[in-house]
Amino acid sequence: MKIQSTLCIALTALFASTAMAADHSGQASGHASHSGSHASASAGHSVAASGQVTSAASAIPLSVGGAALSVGGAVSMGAAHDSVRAAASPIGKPLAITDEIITVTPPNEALKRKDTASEKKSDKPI
Amino acid sequence: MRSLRFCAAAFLALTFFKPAWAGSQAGGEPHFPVEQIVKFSKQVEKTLAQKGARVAIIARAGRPPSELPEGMHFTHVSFAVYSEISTADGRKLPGYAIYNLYQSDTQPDTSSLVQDFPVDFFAGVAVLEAGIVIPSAELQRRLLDTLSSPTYKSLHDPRYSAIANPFTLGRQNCTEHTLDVINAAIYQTADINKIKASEKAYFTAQPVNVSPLKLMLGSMFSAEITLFDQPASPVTATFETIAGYLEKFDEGAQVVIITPES
Repeated sequence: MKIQSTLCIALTALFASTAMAADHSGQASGHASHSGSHASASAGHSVAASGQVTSAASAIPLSVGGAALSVGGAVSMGAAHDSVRAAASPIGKPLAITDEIITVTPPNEALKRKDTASEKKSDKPI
Repeated sequence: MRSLRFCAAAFLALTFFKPAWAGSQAGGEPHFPVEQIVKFSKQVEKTLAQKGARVAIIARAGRPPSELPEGMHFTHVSFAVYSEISTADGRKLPGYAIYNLYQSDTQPDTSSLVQDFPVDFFAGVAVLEAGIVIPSAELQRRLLDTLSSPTYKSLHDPRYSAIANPFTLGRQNCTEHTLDVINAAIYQTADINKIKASEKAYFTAQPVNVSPLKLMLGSMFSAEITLFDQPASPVTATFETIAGYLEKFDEGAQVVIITPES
């Protein structure tokens, strides 16, 4: 009886993990508050490792007037001038977006010290 | 003998009942080459930009349609918001950020609000297809206000169920949160009771077309499935029902399905 129970529990645990793996695999690509045993196989990390992406530190909505919004309302005019001009146009008019592929900064990148001497690149033409 | 029967029931539940529409996880195993994901995600962004969308509802297909219950095609719904993106190397670029409710990997009955970007959003999809609803200009304005306000976070209930009932409190999934935020914007309120009253009056939910036995066993053995907040015939919100709601009540809303350009 004990052996039956033990076997039952073991089989259930085995199939439980198998059934759930398909729905719980992968981690946020570089989401700072998550680190996972599946990180090396996740799609997000594949994308990040491809070298085709630009890591983002943050994103702030642009209002219809072009101001960068945050909690509590408009705070400042965006420093990305092309996007400010585009965002100031009425809703429904085409907007400018970058050609770069933006992704969440991987944790290892986020942990790197900022290099204050690094050259700041200008925005690529859109 | 009793334990063997119990074991058999558990095995059957776990083998045959997979919460296939529980696609609200971040990342996921890649089904497509990186180049295809990158190309498709940028195509979606450019489509939104070409249409001048400041805010849109965006959906992805985390599972093949054949694995989903009737009436469900997309498995995860979020907001795409035109944003000023600050890069890790100090530049500011215009693009879309995605506002998600993601299920926790370690505690599947909990969720959190996570921001990512189109390539992250589509990284683990089973089908390269995007469902988009572009609300009217007025609703976009109101959504921008709501998404930038404390209301967006205040409407999040971290107690997660993959088949959360959009008409009740106590469990929430990505589609219910999206619907709550939409109605918060429409009615310009953070009062969840007013939001739920409106949803009960005007929103048509999707019946969960899964056998009652499977649902019951699933709720017993899967932390992300609960019937706690459900009536006898469970219902949930989907991209399709949200799109239908906006098409009906938001004049000028557009529904667009994006597939890879040839």
